Amino acid sequence: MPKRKLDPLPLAAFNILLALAGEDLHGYAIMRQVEQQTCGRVRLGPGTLYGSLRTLLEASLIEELDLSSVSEDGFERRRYYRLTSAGLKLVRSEVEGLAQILRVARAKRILRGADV
Amino acid sequence: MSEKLYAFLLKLYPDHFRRTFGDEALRLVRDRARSEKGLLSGLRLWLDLLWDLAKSLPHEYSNRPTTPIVATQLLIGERSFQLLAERSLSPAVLCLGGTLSAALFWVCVFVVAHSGRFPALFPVSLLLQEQSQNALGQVRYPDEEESPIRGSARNLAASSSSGQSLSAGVHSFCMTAKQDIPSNSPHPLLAFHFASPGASGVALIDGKAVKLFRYEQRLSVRAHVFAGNHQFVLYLERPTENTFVSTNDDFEYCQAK
Repeated sequence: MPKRKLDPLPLAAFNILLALAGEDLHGYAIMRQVEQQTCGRVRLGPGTLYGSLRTLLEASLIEELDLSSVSEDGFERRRYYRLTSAGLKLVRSEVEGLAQILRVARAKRILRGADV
Repeated sequence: MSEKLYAFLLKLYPDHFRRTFGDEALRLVRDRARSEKGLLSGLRLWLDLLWDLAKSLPHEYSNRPTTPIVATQLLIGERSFQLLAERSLSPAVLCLGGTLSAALFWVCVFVVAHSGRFPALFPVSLLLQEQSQNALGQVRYPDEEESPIRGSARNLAASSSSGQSLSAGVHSFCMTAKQDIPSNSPHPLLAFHFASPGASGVALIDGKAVKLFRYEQRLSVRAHVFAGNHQFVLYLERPTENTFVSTNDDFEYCQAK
């Protein structure tokens, strides 16, 4: 079931995997990271964010860190998420696919600008 | 304020989502509300939240979490009930349920349609007819004494106006003759128009058998009746569809009290 939900990989799930590629993050930090890496074009709401996180957890693409290992000034504990090796493999293949598309687009002179 | 409002909206999400991520979602909204102050930022926050709600709600209801069923209790020999709230019904279960429902429906239809051939089914048929009429809010006479025969009379009265099927068996009802009607009247007392030929039965007026004249797809009742009320009994051998009953202008159903 999770594989079917993630094939093709939804944009929100892809951005979450990409955000978690650098470090372990909690929900709000994931949202901010996604917003930053998409230049503000994608802002994940709570429903989309946690729905995607649940799907990714079911597919074992991410894992939730043990709460006891994360302490946050005593009174508030956040749930942190970490990319698994399967998740890293998936996001890498997705990025490679996008890079291939980018190469084709460049060869056909569709894209303009120095950053591409 | 934003957090309280979102806590209310969060109740729209399914139980499994609120249990697992409710607190986290509230915290995220709280964090965003703290960092995005001002009218425009607040407006953007709520537009985001409402758009997210519209997108994610159907998704959450259609994609329930896949939790494995733990069968440890079964393994040690104890029977237990598993809650299905967290499991979506499998296609096989839905097919089985649909098949059983269809089978039950056709059994009911068969019982109603063939109760004339199987006398043992006749009370069941009457019961089903009574219940369906009550459910549909059809003609009811609260001051009448309840009996199967009365039920059949109501059924016939309803069919006479709307051309419904006439079930096999006994139909008894009261008719009023406004004046004396001779047997050679140009119009029969009653005429039953059927969609297909072959209908047959017996009619009695005040306990006396009267002849049924068959003409193509119509059965007519002709007899001499005096002015006043008469008890009319019709027995049909098999059910007929799309029945229409017409009466002589001077022969009408008794008015309900």
